[in-house]
Amino acid sequence: MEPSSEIRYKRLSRFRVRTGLSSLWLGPDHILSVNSNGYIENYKRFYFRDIQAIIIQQTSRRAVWNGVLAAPLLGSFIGLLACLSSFSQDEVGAIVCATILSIFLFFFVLNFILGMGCACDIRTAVQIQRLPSVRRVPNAKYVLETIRPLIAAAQGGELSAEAVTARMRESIAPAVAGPAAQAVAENPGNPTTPSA
Amino acid sequence: MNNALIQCPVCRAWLMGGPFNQREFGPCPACGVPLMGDVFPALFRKIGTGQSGETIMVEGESSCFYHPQKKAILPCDGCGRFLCGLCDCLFNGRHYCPTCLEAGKAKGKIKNLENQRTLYDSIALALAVYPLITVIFYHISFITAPMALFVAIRYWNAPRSILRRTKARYIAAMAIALLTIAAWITLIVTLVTRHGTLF
Repeated sequence: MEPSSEIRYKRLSRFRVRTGLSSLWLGPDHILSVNSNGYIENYKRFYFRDIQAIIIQQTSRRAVWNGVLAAPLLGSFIGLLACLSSFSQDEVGAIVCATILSIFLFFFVLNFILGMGCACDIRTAVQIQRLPSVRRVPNAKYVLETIRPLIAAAQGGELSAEAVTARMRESIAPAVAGPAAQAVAENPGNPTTPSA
Repeated sequence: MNNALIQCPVCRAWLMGGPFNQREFGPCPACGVPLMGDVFPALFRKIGTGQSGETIMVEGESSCFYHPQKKAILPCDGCGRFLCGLCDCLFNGRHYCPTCLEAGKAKGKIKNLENQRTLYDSIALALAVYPLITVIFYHISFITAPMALFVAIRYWNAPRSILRRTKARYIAAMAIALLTIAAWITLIVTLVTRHGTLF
């Protein structure tokens, strides 16, 4: 049997999700996605040699959170101005409003610093799996930059954008797939076109 | 997933190259959602068909342990039994028989097959701490503190998270549990000595 020594992992990302905590770790020949509810950890391994593609899709997460945080931020700011105005001169109210304002401002700034929202999918020969811990574009780029050379080393090199397009066209050659493939080749992006 | 094309995660349109391996976001041709990604050579790799065991033609040839009529092609790296092409399970560059693979997963001997672990240290700490910090449930610490102590002792040597973790949670749980038990004993002794009865 394999030696039972523990593998040393390096953290790539971490994010709190509805079901608990989700994180992504870098191992010697794979990445490990860990989903935990605090008491049970579930592991999914993606070996570098098996990863076919990583797709990052921009989402409106940051804008939504900005919207959610903007309302109390604006409310507490108006409250602070009202408390400091010459009509009321309410010191206690001003302190309360300033505290609320600073809390929401902190999260507002943090949301901005974390960057644009995204969703990251990883594709292997048998599955397409979403990585719940990768939710911000800068983090997704960092993950991709970190694992790209490792995957390339495991699979014998990287592909250029032109090579990808050419090999995709080859893979749906009309001789094999018939009119369906020709339709995809002529009109990529048509969701109704069946797979080759 | 029977082809070498990628679908847009939003509109499911087939993408031909497009925003891949460009290292910057580009719009999906169908829905316009900004996409970025990398495609690797594994996408275009042909998936090999599985082997079926070769029938023994010459008498005296080594046969598979599980299929005596099939020719053995290699020994299992776990138990050393001879295996045919059908029984050979290649995993992490090593050849296992299905029994060893199953046993390795069940007993946790093959670490890479493990897909779940229970964090007994976190459970022990939760049992010790939560009743105290929730204040209104402090009285159930009478039961949960000994439970935390039991869990910490019983699972002291159990495998912790696959990610590196110390035994700090166990130690903290035991310390808090012992203090809670000591506090309860002190309270009971005080009540009994002052009033002559517990109630």
